[in-house]
Amino acid sequence: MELTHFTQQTFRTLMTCMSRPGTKEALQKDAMIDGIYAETMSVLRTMLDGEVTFAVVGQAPRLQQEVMAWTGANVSEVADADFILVPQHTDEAQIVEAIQQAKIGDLVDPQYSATLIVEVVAETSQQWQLTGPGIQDNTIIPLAITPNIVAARAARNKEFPLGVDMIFVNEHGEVVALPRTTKAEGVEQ
Amino acid sequence: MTTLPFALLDEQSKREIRRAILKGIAIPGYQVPFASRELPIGRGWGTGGLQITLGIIGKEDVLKVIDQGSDDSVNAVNIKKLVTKTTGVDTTIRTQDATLIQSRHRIPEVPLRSDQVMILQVPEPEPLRNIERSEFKTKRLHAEKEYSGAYLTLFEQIMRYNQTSQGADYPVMVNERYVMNPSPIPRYDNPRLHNSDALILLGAGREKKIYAVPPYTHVASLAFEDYPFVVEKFEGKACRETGLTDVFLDELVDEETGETYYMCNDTSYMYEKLQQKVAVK
Repeated sequence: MELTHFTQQTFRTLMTCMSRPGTKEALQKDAMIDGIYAETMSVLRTMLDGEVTFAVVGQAPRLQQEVMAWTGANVSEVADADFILVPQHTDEAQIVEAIQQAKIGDLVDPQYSATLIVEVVAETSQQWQLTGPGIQDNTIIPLAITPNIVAARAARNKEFPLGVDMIFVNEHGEVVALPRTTKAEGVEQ
Repeated sequence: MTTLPFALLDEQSKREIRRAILKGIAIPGYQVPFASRELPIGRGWGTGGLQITLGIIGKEDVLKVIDQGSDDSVNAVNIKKLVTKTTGVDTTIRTQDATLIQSRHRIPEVPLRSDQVMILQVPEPEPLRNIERSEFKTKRLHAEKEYSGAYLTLFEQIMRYNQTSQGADYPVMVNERYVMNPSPIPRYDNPRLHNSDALILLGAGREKKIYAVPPYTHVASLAFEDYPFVVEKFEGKACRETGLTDVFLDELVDEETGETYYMCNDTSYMYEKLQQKVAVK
C-alpha cells in the first residue's frame, strides 16, 4: 500500500484509540526494524518527522539510529522528547523513570508534552478500570502494565491539563491509548 | 503537469495536523496551535475545518459538507469539490451515510454515531477575544482558568436585555476545565456537544488553532444560577414544507406576499422528511 494511505489509516486508528480510551484496535504493519514490533514502527512512521524529537528508553543506540533514519526525527534526552519509545522487555524501573522525566507541558502550553509509545505483551491477567472523557461511564480493559507504572502515570497527570499521553502496542499489533484525561484503577481479581 | 498529492496536503503538513488533533483530543477544549497551510481557499472560508478533513480523510470515507444547514450552498459545494477532486471519495447529503461531516454553523438534526467524525469550521476560536485582544494574555487566562471575562460578557448582555443575546458561538465549558467557542452554531446545537457519540474536531485556519471535544465529554454552556442557559424556542411555529416543529427553523419572508414563514434549517433532513411524506402518500 502507498505510504500516504498507510499512514492515513494508521492515524485514524490512533485517533479512534485516543478519543475512546480503552478501545482496542488493530494496526497494520509495513516496515520492520529489529527490536520493536512492526506495528510500533507503523505508529512511529505516522507520527514522527524532522519537526519532532524522540528518545528510546534503555540503551539502544542502534534502534535510535534506525528510527532516526526511517522517520527523520531528531534524537533527544527523555526529558526533552516529544515522543518516547519504550521497547518490549524494558524494566519497570526504567519505564517509571521515563514517565517521571517525560515533559508534561506547562499551563500556558500544555501541548508541549510527551507522548509515550509503550510496547506491552498481549497476555495478562491485569485489569484496569478506566474513566474520563471519551469513555461512557467506565470501561474495564486488560493491559499488561504494572501498578507502579500506572501510579507513576497518575502522579505525572495529576494537574490537568499537564501530563503525558500514552499509546500501548502489543505483539499482535493491537493498540490502546490512554490520554492524560483517563483515570485508571486496578480491578481486584 | 505534476499530479496533486492525495488530499492535497503534503505528508509533513498532514503529520503536523494529525499531531495537533491527538493533542487536542488529549486536552479537550484546549486550542492547540498549528501551522495552517495555504490552501486554494481564502483563510476565513473554512480552511481550518478543511485542513482537518484533508488531514484525516481516507479513500473509504464518505464526506458530507454543510454550510448553515445546507449541503448546496457555495461554500459547502466548493469545499466538497476540492476534497473529492484530490481524493476521489464519495460525498453524500444524508447525514446517516457520512463518515466525515464538515460543517459551518450547524450540527445536523440526525443524531451522530460513534463511527462518524464531526468537523466544525471556526472563525474565532478564542472565547475571551472580545475582552482581551492579546493572544499572549488570553493564553495565560486559560492557563489560570480565569474566565470571569467570559461570564462578564454574558452578564452585560443580561444587564442590557434581561437575557443573553449571544445567538451563535455561545461559549461552553469543556470537561470542567476549558471555556471554548463551539464555532457559530446556534445555541440550539450546544447540547449536542455534551456526551456526543461522535468525536468533534474544530479547526480555525486563519487563527491557526485546532481543538477537540472527545465523545462522552462533559460540555456545559456557560450560565448563571438565576439565568440558566436556554436554547432558541420556536413555539407555535413549524416548517412550512414538512410541518416539523422539533428542529431548528429559519425565519424567511415570502417576497411576493411579504408573509413571514419558517423552514427547517437542515435541508438534507428536510428533504428526507419530504421524501418519507411522499412515500406514505
